[in-house]
Amino acid sequence: MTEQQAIAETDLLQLDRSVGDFHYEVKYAYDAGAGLSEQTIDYICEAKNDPDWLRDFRKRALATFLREPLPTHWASKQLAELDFSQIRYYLAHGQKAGRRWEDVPDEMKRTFERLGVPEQERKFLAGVEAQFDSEAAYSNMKEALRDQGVLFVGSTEGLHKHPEIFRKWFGKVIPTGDNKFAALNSAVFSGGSFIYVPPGVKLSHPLQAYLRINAESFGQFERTLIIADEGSEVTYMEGCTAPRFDTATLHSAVVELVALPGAKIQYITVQNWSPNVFNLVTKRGMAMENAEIRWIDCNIGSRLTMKYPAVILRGRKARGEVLSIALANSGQHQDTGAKMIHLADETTSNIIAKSISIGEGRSSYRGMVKIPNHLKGCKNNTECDALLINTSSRTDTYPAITLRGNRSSVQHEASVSKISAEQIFYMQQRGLPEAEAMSLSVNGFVNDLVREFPMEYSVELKRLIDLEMEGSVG
Amino acid sequence: MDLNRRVLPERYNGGTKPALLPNWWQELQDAAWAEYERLPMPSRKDERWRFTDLGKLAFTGYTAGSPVPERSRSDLQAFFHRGEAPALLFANDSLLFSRSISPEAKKKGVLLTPLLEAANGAADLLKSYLFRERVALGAEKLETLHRAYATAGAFLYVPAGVELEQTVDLSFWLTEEDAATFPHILVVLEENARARIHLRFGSTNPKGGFACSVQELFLGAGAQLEIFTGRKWAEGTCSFDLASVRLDRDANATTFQFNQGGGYTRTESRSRLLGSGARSVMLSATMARNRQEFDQRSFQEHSAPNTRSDLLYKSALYDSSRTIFAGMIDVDPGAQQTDAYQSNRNLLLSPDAEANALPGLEILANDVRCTHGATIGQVDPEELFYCLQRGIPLEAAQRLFVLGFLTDVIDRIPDADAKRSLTEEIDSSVSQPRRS
Amino acid sequence: MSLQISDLHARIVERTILRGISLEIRPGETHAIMGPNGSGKSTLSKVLAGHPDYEITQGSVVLDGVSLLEREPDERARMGLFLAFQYPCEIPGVSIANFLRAATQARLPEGESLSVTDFYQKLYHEMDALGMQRTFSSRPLNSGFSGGEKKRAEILQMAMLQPRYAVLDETDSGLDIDALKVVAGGVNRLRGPEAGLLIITHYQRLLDYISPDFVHVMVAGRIVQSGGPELALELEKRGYGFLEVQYGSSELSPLAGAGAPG
Repeated sequence: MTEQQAIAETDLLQLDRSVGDFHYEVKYAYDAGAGLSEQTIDYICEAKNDPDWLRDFRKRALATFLREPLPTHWASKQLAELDFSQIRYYLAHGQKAGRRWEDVPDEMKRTFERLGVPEQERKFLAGVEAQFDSEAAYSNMKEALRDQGVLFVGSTEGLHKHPEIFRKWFGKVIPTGDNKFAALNSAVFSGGSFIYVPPGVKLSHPLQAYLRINAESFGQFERTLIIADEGSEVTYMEGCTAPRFDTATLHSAVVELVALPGAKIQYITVQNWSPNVFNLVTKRGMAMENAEIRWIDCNIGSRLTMKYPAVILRGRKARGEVLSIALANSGQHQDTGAKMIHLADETTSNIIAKSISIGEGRSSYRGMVKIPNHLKGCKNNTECDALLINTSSRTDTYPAITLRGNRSSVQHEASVSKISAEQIFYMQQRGLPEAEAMSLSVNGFVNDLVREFPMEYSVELKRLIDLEMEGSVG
Repeated sequence: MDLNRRVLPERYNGGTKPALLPNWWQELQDAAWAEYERLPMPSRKDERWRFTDLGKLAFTGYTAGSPVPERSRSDLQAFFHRGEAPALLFANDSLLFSRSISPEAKKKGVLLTPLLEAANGAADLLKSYLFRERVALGAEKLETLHRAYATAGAFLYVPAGVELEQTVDLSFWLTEEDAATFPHILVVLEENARARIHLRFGSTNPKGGFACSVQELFLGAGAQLEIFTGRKWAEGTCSFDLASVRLDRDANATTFQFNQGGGYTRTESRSRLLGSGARSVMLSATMARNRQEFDQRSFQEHSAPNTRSDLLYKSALYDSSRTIFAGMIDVDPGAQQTDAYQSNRNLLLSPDAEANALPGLEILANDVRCTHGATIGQVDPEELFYCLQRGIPLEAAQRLFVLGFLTDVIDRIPDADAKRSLTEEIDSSVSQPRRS
Repeated sequence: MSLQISDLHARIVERTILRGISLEIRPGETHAIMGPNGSGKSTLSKVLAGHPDYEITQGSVVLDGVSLLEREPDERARMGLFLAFQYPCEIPGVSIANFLRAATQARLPEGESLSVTDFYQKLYHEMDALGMQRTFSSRPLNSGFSGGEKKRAEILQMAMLQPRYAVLDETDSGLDIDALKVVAGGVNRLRGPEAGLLIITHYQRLLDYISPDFVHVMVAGRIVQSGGPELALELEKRGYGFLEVQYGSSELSPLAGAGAPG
């Protein structure tokens, strides 16, 4: 590559990084300050006007969080870099999200406009919730869906206005004590979506959440609960960004999905965190008889992401799927994977995970598949493929599979490879510059998964991958 | 043997020459014991013990150096008298029988002796290798226990360029249910040397015992080693076999194990590919019955460029048996052109059998070919129907499948004689009538 | 003495496929069943052999006076029923020779064991007759075999096991003309006063080499016409279309639905 080319590409890279890398000064009406204690919890409860049961719930969760050790015995030692006393746990401008963009405070509206959210809403979304630090700034859904009884609100509104549905499932798929970060989220959660889709209602367009971290040294802890009632269908998408700060930012969400008999939930994530974000997320769905849950996940950016979307296959013939793309650049560790817990006959699950490590980036696949107790006709298929771009790139695979009894089957295959030199040469011979050939090849590697994303996202994704690839050649 | 206290056993009970351990060896034992006492017991929190049923580990109630009853002694000796291969036979850590290598091999400088003899006759050579490797993949505590107790074992040394044509027969037995054994196998092949070993572990009593063996295998540049291990401990035996093979440039190792019997059997197998062009093939066929647990851990360590490793572990599980396979392929930065393969296949034949697989990769170089796979499944119902349609009864059909499933591992062994005898061994144990 | 199928109805999951098949095959007779795709021909062969996926809802099958349907597949086989599969299974790691030894051993009375010399003598004799290399017997059964090799291996097994009644399920499919001749030769060698044959085929082609005594046409789970060898020739000329119009094709027939009366 010539020097000029290199300069041109470096410039381009920086230019584009700035899509998410900006922030406006915002005056916060609510600020719990740095550090975490019972007082922090009380502050949040009062700001959000939480009911007593929730205050108790949060305090019990705090005790669990403080008691549990960091899981550094199996996970990255990098976790130890997190200083929980330096993080700000609650920052909000106000308590009520606007239903119209005109009602959204200026700085926030400008932020989301720069990120293109209102435009996407007009084009292809059935509803949008835009969260700015701890609370949603904007929340709206198409009128027609409201008439059909679909609920799409923030978690606070969900628990206040629809306690009979909310409390039935809240914390049931992911109990507080599941892991240290689920406990942390349970203690301080704010924001996130609550969705209920009534029986038989099938949403033709996706609902979307946009999660924006704006403040420095901030922890975002949204909590999402989606319940798809019998025979209903819903697709939910979330996008995430944050500006680049000098100090670490923490994002620790809990997402619970419940697919009642015959329902289908598709949960799509495209994260493009800046490289100072610790992204420690617990996502799990429960699929009842004949229901289907699919996690489609694309992880780009962040310093450390730990995320293993799970499906508990509770009802006969339930299906679970995780499709995951991870891209780790220098200074980043994508520790992602999937869990499939089979608890009923004839349940099937499928995992396809593809990762790309660039520069000194590290991507790890961690998986768990469990078929216990004399079940019959269960099947899991797992496929992990890793692509290593540079000599110092790293990948790991850590699956754990348990199968009991002679009437089910599990299959796991994994491979590690680099970009084929033959392929690059072939493309160069056709006149493509090496860098472009590499990008094309990487896009080819993930293409079958990218196709599973909605079209608008897959275009975006390809562009993101191209950007990450730049500078990796030579 | 009470493992909370160190009781130095009478080591040379029953027949073998009493010999004093040299000082340097005693010092190693003392250091090992101190380390043993310091190390924690295996725990559920340790990833390297994940899925192990720790309740099946039994360390107490054994005696090291139990006398060998006359009857077991004569049975075992009779069996080995028949052979012609150079052999060393131990029971409860006492040497019962030995047959030396051919005079021609001796003339070329090949050495095959019990460890204790080597300590007197070839002390310097032994000293520079014995207990040099850190072998364990989790069972460090057991490894130090082994070092504190081990005196029984074999030392095979083949000088540069020498090919030992005879297969060496090494076997270690437990005759009493409260007996303990700590076999040590030390093999040193110098440049371009070759050897083949048949290693047997077994019991003459039907009940139990404790075994903790370590294999240290050193392969110089271009050396070739094949080890076939047959393991058939009595039903209640708790056993550990920790093996490490170090391969220098262009060295080539094939290890094959056939596992059956025992109560809890843990194998830790490490291939260290330290020189360019080295190649290690790691094979295992396991037949798990009753409530047996086979806990197999492996490590394919690629430290040099252009190295190859190929692992295939297969298990057939009956009754309430359990297996664990935890393997790791590690490719160091700079170990470019590594070609590593790791495959674990499990065939479940009963509703209560359980297989666990943890196939792992840690890859820090990019120009590599690494794949791994794990499957856990049952006999394909269509294949079963096909057999039944030919009039083969269900149980016979199942045996046929298990045989086919396991002999597939043997197909990877290049030597035709070894292949035939191993196939027969598997055949006879698959066909043996079920006890439970 | 015969293989007697009476009013046989069978279904898989919730789809009825056989809707009342009646047919009697006596030793020494060769019957052919022809029919369009999806008419239930292959199902008939699997139901006779006792495949667990199918449920018998009505009717009976009697082999030399003994009722077949409540028996396990291996018992049926030892009673003398052989099925040459349309798609023979691959059984990795099990050689043809070992497989056939197990099958032959299973046919001996309890306590008696197979003479290995006799076995191989017979095996090689049959292999020679089928023009097979002897090394073929040590290859894992069907695994990595070409289509033609698989079919030949089926015929070899039939020759070794000497069934009373053999059902050949589309044994001609996927064969070139040379392989077809070899396979047909193998089948013809089994023919004789002792053996009854049921040949299931889509095309007339195989019947040029194995001339049947009776030809039956199956459409939508029933035998709709029976006749001599001339019927096969007529079908070859006219196709199955006219019969499907007349008797309903399995795909189109409203009777094909779940639980419809047969």
